[in-house]
Amino acid sequence: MDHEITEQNGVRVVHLHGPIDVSKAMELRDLLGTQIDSAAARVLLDLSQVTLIDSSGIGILVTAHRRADGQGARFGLAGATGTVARVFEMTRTNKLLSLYESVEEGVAALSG
Amino acid sequence: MIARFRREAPPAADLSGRLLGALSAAGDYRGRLDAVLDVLKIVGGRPDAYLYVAEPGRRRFHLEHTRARPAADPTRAAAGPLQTTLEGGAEWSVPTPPFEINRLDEDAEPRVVTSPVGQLYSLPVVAGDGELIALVRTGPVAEESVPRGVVAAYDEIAAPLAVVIATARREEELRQKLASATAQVEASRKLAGSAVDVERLVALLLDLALAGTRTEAGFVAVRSEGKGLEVRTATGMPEDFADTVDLSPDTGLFDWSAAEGGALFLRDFEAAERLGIRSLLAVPLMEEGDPLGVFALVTFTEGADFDENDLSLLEAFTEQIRLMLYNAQLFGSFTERYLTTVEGLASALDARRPDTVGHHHAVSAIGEAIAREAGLDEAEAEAVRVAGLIHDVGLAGSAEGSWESDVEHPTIGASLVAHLPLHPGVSGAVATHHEWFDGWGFPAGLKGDEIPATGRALAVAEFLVELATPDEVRPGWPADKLASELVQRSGSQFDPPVAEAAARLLAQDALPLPAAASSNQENQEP
Repeated sequence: MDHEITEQNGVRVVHLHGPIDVSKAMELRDLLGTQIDSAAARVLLDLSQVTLIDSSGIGILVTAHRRADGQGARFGLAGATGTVARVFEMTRTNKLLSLYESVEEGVAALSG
Repeated sequence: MIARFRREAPPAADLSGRLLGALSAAGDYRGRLDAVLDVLKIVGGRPDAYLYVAEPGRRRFHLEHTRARPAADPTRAAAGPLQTTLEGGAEWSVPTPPFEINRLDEDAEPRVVTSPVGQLYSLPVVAGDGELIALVRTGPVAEESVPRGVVAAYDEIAAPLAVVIATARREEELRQKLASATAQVEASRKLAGSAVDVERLVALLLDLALAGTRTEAGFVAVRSEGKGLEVRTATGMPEDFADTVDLSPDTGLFDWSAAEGGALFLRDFEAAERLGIRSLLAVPLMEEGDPLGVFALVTFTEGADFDENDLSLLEAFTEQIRLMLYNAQLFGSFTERYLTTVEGLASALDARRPDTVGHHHAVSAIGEAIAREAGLDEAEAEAVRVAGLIHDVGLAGSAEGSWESDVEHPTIGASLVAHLPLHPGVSGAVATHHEWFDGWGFPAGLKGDEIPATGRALAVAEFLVELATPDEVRPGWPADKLASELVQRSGSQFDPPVAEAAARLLAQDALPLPAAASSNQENQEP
């Protein structure tokens, strides 16, 4: 799926583009699996360019979050607005995930 | 005046922005139409504006909204004819635009029309698919045709204006349907909302939500006691979806637990992929921290995604479905407890005399068997079973052995359960189990089909149990005597097909009659 990866303060920031639905879930799982590869991994997903997320996309994010927790790594999400932010609220997953307003805020939290 | 006005008018982009701004979630339907007509007044440079919307399937428009000078406005009143009042005085009447107008071919182009409110510019509102969905009119004007400048200004905003009108209309229709569905939910809950009604209404709400969000498919799954989620209604899903989808909490399609605050997401996206699902948005239906069910919208085609308006609508429907399921659950558990109390009361009545111990249970079991044999459907057979357990409970409401207790106990008993959301055959059977097929029974003297099928079945069951049970003065009747008695009373006391069904079961020794009545005890015959 369409993405770039940058590194800021030791945090890998994955900038995603477009919708995240069932058709993209497999790719997203592989992408996050590669990035969350050790206890030292600090991964922040930038959702500011994501237009839509469905229950399958959220499923991958929760799984990634749990995996990161399990191995002592850290995983966060930044920049969710509009429909994406609403979907997190409606599915009540906003409390389960680490959501940050902006990439800067997320990087500060994960690198600390 | 128009030229001067147009120099001051905001650029078309601002007007388009103002129109689309009217679609914000906070706006109501009238507010959106106000915005449309206000923009039109600016474009036309006229004080009054009217919106006529096309009626689906008819060559007609009706006046949906008006944004005109108030009736008291002297400039407006002066335009109308002077009318003489009954008292001999005179007053200006305020002319009104026609409520309905016929659709003409000329309506597809900008033109000037003459109406009771004067000459007006009439401008077409065309949806994306080319359909003429409305006419906007503004005036009064003196010209015989719409000036080019106005047409050009209107062209700039025509597309967003059509979007706003179409969207506002669609949302208003949905709002009205939702309001009517909510009213039905309330009514069914207050009256006799059986489980069947809840299913029907959940299906209705699902279909409305799909129409409102222009989504092809969806389903509602409800958590049932002791089990996981079960699909209650589905639209547009693969045919065997409800039976084959795995919704179990540990391995199924969704990961969902109250422990995580009801957070709901898709666990098995590969299963969703196998079903051909492109995107799936499932929201939890929660009640005070308890998960009640899941409401899911599904798309199978690319490009059919949800926008923010869809999410707002989805939230509104989620709330309705949640409320309905909660009410149904609340009322359902209340009914169960209440019914248990009534059954207990009926059993306590049986226990007062040794020869009636177990009477209600026997009538219930035999009644259910007869109902099935006589071809009543599953729900009616179940209604006979429940009615059997409580049919004489009305005897508790009057002095034992009194004339009133004998005559009124069916009515009193039925009144104890009539308000519950049960199959109507339950209270019907309790109320009529002493009616005779030929109209000679009590309390109402009903006959034939006036007596519900459940009542006709229960009547035979009670007769068999009473005569099969020995009492102080006579032994219990054996099966063959009961069968011949049924034949004799068929068509008078009993509905013939029901009597025949019971006789067949007696011949097969298939009825759980009280012990004294088994067919080998003919020697006890009186």
